[in-house]
Amino acid sequence: MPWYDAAAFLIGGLMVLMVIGMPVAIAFLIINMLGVFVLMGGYAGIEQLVTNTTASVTNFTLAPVPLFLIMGELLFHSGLAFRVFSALDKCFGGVRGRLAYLTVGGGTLFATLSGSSMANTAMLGTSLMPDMIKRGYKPRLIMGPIIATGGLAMIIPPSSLAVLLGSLARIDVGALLIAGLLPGLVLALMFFFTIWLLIRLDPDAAPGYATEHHSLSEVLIGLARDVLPMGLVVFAVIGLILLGWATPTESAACGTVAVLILAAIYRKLTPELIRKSLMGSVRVTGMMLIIIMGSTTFSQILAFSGASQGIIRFATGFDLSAYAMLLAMLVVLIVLGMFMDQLSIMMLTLPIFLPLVTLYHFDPVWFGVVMLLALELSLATPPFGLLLFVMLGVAPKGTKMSDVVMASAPFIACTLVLIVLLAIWPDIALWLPSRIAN
Amino acid sequence: EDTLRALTAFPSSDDTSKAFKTFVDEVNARGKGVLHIEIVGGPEVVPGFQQIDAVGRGVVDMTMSPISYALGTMPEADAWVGSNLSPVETHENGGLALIRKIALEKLKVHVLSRFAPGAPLNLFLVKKPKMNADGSPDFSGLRLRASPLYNSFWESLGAVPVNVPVPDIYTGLERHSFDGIGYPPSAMVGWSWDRFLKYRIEPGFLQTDLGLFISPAKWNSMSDASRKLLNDMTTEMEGKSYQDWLEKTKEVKAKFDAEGMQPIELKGAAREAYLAKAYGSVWDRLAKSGSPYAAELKKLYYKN
Amino acid sequence: MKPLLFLYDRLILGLAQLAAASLGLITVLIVYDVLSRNLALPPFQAVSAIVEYVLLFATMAAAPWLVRVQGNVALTSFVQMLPHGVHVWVNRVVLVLSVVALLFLTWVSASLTLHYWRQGTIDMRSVNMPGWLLYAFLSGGFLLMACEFLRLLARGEIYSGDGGGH
Ligand code: NA
Ligand code: NA
Repeated sequence: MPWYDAAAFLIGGLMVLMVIGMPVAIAFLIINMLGVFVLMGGYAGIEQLVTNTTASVTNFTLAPVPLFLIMGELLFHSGLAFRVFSALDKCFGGVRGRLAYLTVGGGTLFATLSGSSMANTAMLGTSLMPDMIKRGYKPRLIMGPIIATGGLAMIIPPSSLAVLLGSLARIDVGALLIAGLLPGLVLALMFFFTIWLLIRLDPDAAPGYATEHHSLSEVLIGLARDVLPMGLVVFAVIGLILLGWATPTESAACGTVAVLILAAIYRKLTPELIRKSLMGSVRVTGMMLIIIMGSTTFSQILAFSGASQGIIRFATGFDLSAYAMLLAMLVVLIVLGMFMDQLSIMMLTLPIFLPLVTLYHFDPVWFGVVMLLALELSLATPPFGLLLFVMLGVAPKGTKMSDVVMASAPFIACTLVLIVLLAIWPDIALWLPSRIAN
Repeated sequence: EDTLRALTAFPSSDDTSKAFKTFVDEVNARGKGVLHIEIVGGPEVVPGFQQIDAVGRGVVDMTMSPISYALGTMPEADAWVGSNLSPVETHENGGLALIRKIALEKLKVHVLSRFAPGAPLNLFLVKKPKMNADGSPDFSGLRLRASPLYNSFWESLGAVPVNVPVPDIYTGLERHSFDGIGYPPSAMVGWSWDRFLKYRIEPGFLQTDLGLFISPAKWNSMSDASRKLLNDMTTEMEGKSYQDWLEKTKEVKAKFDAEGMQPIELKGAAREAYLAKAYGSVWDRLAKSGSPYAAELKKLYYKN
Repeated sequence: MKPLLFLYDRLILGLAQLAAASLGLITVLIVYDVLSRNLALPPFQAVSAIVEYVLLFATMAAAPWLVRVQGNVALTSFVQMLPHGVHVWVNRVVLVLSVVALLFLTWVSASLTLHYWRQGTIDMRSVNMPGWLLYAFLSGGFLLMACEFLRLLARGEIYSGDGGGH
């Protein structure tokens, strides 16, 4: 089967199944079975599919997903998230949309704590979203920043994806990790600006100015009592990594226990709290991991059929100028990112991209950062973006995929703008590593 | 013309995958009109651990994979891991034939040959280990990255195996979350771990265990000319790639040393004891598995 | 029939609760792993193997319950634009396809469970695990998911996937 027929069959089939309302996970399982039956040769292919499926989920690096979800649920059900919000609400009482800004601030902080975008989005979604809706924020203004800052986790170190990219592309891992920091922070600033713009355009999206006035001592007491202790959670996650006690994957569990300790201190630790939080975590974990089961094997079949390689070769096969070639590579990453997982995309594209990087004299570290940004983007692009599904899974009843997509669109645009900025000023990525090297 | 669709257990950026590509190009050049091998891809197509399974099922025709990935089904795979002989020797003394027989029975695959084998693993450490009175290093209490292949060796040294997923190794070493790893030097290119690993224990231990595996149905359906070509070329390659990889290992070590890594050379009795523990842990595991071939394999693959 | 259905309902919820508990377990195990490594407490080698197995176990044990609470996401914007009669009909097709696919996957994973059981395959992780166990998780999970979709079909209900998070 030529690659475009295989692509049409696999991708087209998946789209049809999703559009008729098939649960996303089942849609993947069905198209995977049809795909291997046709391409890998009948029943043996389906056996192989099931075998490969077990490998996709039993992966220690996925552990932060349930762990951060438990943390998010604990923060929400114990009322700790509510306390933090109330205290900060008093503090920034005069700013319209203050909690949306705080989501970006808190999300960026969390990006420095964790290397998993999925886990971050899920954590922020479960802990922040219900409170913000209660306070009168439009879902658009909540979901967009959460998806956007969730994606930051893989740009700002620690980032397991950056480590894997560095090793696959023979880019200095340390330089690539550091190179992500500044672009990540610039992106966060752009998110702040986007929120400001969104509120200017639609002032009703966020509640207005606070009517009550809070005295300075009230504000300070609130901060000391409700915000400062959260430092324990931050320490449990990033402090233990820096001290060398825990690896980035393990630190999620330590953070969860820190939240439990805080809940105990605030006298909120009950069996009911633990039960609710675990059930909430398993609900989103189950939803996500079964999709990952299906989508990882879908990636593999797409690669087996030659469709992915066909797309890459087609797009990069023209004689182009440097910037046009960069654009072609970005389009490839974004198109593949619609349907494939990020590690597979890297393994497929790098053998073709790296010679081009050399040919066009792109800086490898700079290219690595651009590639990470494009991969981050792919987590939030329809039709198949894991962060969109995560958000849909944690959002209140009745939220539609189109709502989530519309909410994240302005923030996706920020990432695209950042890539343009990086093309104009490569030093945004390269300055820090050059300072630290040697 | 016979055509084979082949996989590699490691990504195409890996040096062994590149060497396999070179080998395949040679086969295709010499086998024009007779035999053509097409590399379909790496773990992005079929997860590494599942590739021998896939060949056994006939879903793909061929793979380059560590045989230890099938250790759970075929405990005898340990013979390659615990060998201290060159693949040429174990081919000629009948070792390969015995492994072929067992793999056909248990894994339903035909073993063509070993691939880029031999390169031993080394133990790399972040800090200089404490030294015993006799001048040998004291490994007790060290936290070493775990691997099912040599956990029992670590334990026999008194060290504590620590589970660290590969993407976490860099940060783990940077922050000193554990004290060291065992790895083939030639496979460390690209990870930048050597930035933090300042000490290397010599000698190396065990053997890397890559092999070429082919689906028996495919093998039997191929023309005599194709089979002869593959047999000739893999036999040639076995010896050459062994030498190449020893050379490569030496080069990588020299590069590490030039960048400031210090080799700690074990001598005399300490060296003997270290190697006895390393190889002993593998052969003990094979013996304990209850394989009827355990003693015979040890005779063919291991020389005291 | 009634007590049987009651037991079945308890099974679906019980498995979800077990899945939730297993997530609690791995949190504790990972923290112990970190502590034991740094405080020189006795190490527990099984932790990473258990964590990896729990990821699949929790997924499959919670899967049937997720169908029941409409917790698996689905894209419903398009079908909801259709006239009600057509929507219901399309949803029947979706349910039937899901049941057939899941039953087939149940069969394949069950036969693989048996295959690896007979072969005595070991899954070498941080400790040895029996090679058939993961396939048994899959086969049980797929079967109960199929039952849950069948239940929707029998009750004439629609799978909308809008269970929501909270
Ligand atoms: Na991060
Ligand atoms: Na996507």
